[in-house]
Amino acid sequence: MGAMAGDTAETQAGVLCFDELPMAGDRTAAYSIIRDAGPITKDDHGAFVIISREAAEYVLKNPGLFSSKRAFDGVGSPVPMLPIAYDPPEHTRYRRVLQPFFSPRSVGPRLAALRELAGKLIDGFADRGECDVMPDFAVPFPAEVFLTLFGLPLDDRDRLVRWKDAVLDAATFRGAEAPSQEAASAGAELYAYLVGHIAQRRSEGGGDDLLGQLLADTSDERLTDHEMLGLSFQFVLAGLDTVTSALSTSFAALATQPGLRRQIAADLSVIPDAVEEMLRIDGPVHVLPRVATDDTEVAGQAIPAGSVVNVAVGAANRDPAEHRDPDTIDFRRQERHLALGGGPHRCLGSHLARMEMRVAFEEWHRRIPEYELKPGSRPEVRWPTGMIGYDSLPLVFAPRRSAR
Amino acid sequence: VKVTIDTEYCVGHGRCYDVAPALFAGDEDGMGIVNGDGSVAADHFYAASAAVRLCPERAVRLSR
Repeated sequence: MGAMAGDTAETQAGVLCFDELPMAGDRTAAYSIIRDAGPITKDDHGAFVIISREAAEYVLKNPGLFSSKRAFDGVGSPVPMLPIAYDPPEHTRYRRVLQPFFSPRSVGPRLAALRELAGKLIDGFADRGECDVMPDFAVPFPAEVFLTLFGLPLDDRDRLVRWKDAVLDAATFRGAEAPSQEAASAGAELYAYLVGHIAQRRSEGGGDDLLGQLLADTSDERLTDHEMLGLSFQFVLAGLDTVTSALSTSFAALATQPGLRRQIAADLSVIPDAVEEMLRIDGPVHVLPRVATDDTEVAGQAIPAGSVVNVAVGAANRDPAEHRDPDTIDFRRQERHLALGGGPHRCLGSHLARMEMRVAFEEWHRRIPEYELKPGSRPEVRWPTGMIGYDSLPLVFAPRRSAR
Repeated sequence: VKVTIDTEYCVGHGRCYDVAPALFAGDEDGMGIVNGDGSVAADHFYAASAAVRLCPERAVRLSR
């Protein structure tokens, strides 16, 4: 280790203090501090932290031993988030209902609409020579895609984003921990909105969006209002934040590393591999919480029943046992990663998320192949948080000539 | 050489049919399925090994 930040992030007792990690400005330094404590350690809240990729995969693939049921209590949702806070077999049933809506066959036909939306947003500032990627593009693009698909009014975008931010800012991802006052009250506001919206949609009927289709379901597997609310709560958090945050860290990498940016600008077919590599090295979800259901053992470490077990997927994605030069971005790598989770809780929206990211980078680099951080700006990601991303990322570029 | 998917472990990441659409497809839930009997022609061998390497669940296998 040796970095000064490491001396405060890892105390003399060998306990990892996540809040002290230098994540905001230097994820490579932060992840190497975590990695050096591996394959498993404890954090300053008494949770076990799973660090090696092998151990991470083991935990994620064993929901019977490592439960999700109380793992998200600190997020502040008044009802269990669905499907993330359920275990098999209930979880399996919910996924069976939801997966057909998020398979490539279902989301694929949205490609043209996504492309048009991304292009329209970028055209809004391409002639200006500068923008803030977050409010100008990375927030509105995935938000509009999600709200349309799910069935929430586009006019409510800004307040839904505000509630999402308030919930995620106040949330703890330490599992089985009561939410803070702030998290609980932010969660209650979003929840109250959703109660009203679902009641309204149920009384109106119709709609070919996800909510409309789920509400029209009369089969034995139809969701109750309680379940619909847990689902809506989780989807608002996931749909309005994950792709936004992933775009932010990716744009930050491309804006500061010209070699990477030019590989994309020179050949847009690199983009799918580039997206995977940027998710691997700097994905927004850096930790996935679980709670041990029984006395068990991981990587030689005894874990008592009831322990919080946090899978540090961000660190596992940089495990040197799995990746050569794990801290180097290499678009040709083509190696598996856990940025979208693994096991039965694999990100339900992963196919849509990948499509959004690919479209975003294709449409962007067609219009703006060369760009860099606005001189003098030193953007940092939110930290501590469960969802890594930038709130602001000012970029400058040659204004596009207006004739188009 | 043939490719197989261990359906006990597949959770539908879709990496196999994404990188090797000649060898794999996705079903209506997005789970991976092997096209035909899984035989890998020589010019698809690279894509087949990429699918093996990319599957986060290690559910895709290559065998003789």
